[in-house]
Amino acid sequence: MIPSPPKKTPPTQERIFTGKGNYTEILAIYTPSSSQPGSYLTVSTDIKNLYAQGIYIAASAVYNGSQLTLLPDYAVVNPGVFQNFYGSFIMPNSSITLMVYSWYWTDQWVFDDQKQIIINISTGEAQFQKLSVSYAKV
Amino acid sequence: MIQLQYGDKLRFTCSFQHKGAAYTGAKLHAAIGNKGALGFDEILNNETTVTGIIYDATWQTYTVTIDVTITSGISSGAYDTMVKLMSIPGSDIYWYGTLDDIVVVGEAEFQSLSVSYAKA
Repeated sequence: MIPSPPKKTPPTQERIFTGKGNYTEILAIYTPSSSQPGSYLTVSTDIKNLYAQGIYIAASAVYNGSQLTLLPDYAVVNPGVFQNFYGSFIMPNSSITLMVYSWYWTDQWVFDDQKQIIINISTGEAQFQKLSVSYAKV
Repeated sequence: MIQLQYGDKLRFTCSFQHKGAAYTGAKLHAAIGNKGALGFDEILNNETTVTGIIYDATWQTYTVTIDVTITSGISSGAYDTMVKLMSIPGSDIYWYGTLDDIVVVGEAEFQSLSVSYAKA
């Protein structure tokens, strides 16, 4: 039984925007570009196996310091094929940077690729209602 | 019913709710006049720009006051009141007071002089 991948930020940050990992590549992250606070958001990502054989691949994500679980926990992915991982969260009251990480299994989970995407806050149009008035002589 | 004389002020305390994006430029317009079938005939009025409307995801209540000064531009009599929230997205929001609730007394008036006379 392979354990779930580490649910934390990988220790190495220098791989940001390097394009691809050694064995995996995050092909895409699917989210809305903006969302209203409190909205229920689904995020998914396609991760490709770059290795010549089938490998176990997992994904995790972090936004504004919060861990986001992506499902499935892991998958066996054939060479040249990508696997979709997905999760959901509630949009906070500010724009976020969502970091997505890919992992592959040898005798442990190894962090491999990293991509980020920004989801801007969408406040919606101003709305007004319920005008009430009282008056008095002054 | 409120009785007013020239020089008095009628203070309208207006509350409304807002949500969504921050907004500048909303105005509150208060008037004293006559409400009729064709609308509201304003005689005295005043308006103010509402400031400090900030973003909020939920409805928030704002309260603003407007004073209308009673001048000789209005005659003695009973009048109506109206306030509208304007320069906002969508239609203006109107509020109308109780009919004839404002009574302007105006300047001092005299009438019915009667006299009798007799040898003293």
